[in-house]
Amino acid sequence: MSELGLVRPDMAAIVGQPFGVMESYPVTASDIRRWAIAVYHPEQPPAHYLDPAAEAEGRLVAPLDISVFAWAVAHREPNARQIEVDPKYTAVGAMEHNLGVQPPDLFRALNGGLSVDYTGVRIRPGDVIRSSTVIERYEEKESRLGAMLVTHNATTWTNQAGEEIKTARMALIRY
Amino acid sequence: MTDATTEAPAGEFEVGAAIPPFTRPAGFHAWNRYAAVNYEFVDIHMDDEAGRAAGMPGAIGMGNLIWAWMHCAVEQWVGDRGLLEHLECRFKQPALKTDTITITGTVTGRSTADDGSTLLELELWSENQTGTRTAPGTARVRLHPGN
Repeated sequence: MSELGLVRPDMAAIVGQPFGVMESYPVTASDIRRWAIAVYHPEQPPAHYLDPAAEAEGRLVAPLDISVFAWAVAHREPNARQIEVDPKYTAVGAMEHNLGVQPPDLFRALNGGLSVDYTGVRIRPGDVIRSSTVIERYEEKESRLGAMLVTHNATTWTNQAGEEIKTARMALIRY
Repeated sequence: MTDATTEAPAGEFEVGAAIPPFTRPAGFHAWNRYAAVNYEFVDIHMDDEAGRAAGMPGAIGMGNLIWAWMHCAVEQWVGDRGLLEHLECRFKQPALKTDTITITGTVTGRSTADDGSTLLELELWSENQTGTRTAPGTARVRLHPGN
C-alpha cells in the first residue's frame, strides 16, 4: 500500500496499461470547418478554414484542439477486462474498472489541469484517428480537504498511417 | 472582441513580447456553438438553475472552450510561421454569461533548437473583464526557420 493508503497494489499494477482504445469515423472537411467556426465565433476563423479550394489542394488541416470522438465512435476495441461498477464511481471520472480493478472509494473530484503535446502531424479530411489512454502514474497529496489521489492520465492519438498526432494529459483529483 | 493581427511587428517573438489578445464574449451564443461541435450538453452550461444548484451565480462556460480559445490565440498570432507544441493550464474560475474573456500572455523564453527552428516559451492565460486570471497556463511554440 502507498504512503497515504490511497493506491492499492492492484491499482499500482494497472499503471501504463492501455484502455479506452477506439477509432473515429473518417474526419470530414465539414467537421473541420464547423469546429473552427464555432470556436472563433462571432468572428470568422482564419481564411484557410473557409477556402473552398483548401480541401482539394491538401491545405485544409483541423484545429489542433478538435475532438473527433465527441459525437460518435466508429469502433471500440473489445475489452474483456472491464468490470461493472456503481455509477457513483464513473460520475467522478474513475477509470480503473476499464482495467478490471475496483476504483477507490473517493467520490469527490476536481480537474487538476490539462496539458497537451503536439507532434506536428495534423489531422486532415479522410483521416481515421485511433485513441488509447493509459494511467501514467498515481500521486498522493495531503490538502486542507484531506488526503487526495491525483491520477495522471495520458491519451495518445495516432492516424491511419500510425503517425502520432498528440498526447493529452489530464490530472484527475479524487478525494 | 478583438483578434490578433497577422502582421509581424518588430520584436513580436522576443522575450517580454506580449501575445496579442484574443477576446470573446462568454455566454450562451458561444457555449451553445461549442456544445454543438463538442457534444457538451451539460446542464450547468445550458441552464441558470443548474448553475445555481452547483453553487454558481448561474450557468457557467466550459473549460474546454477556454482551452479552445487558447489555441485560437496562438494560431492567430503565429499563423503558418510555426506550430504550438505544448500547452497546459489549470481552470481556476469558470466564465459566467456576462463575462468577457481575453486570452493573452507573454514570451518568457526563446532558444534555438538543433534543427535551426526557434522555440518560444510562453506564459499564457485567460482573464475576465476585471483582470482576474481565470485559467493560468504555459505553452511552447516552435517557429519555423527564418521566423
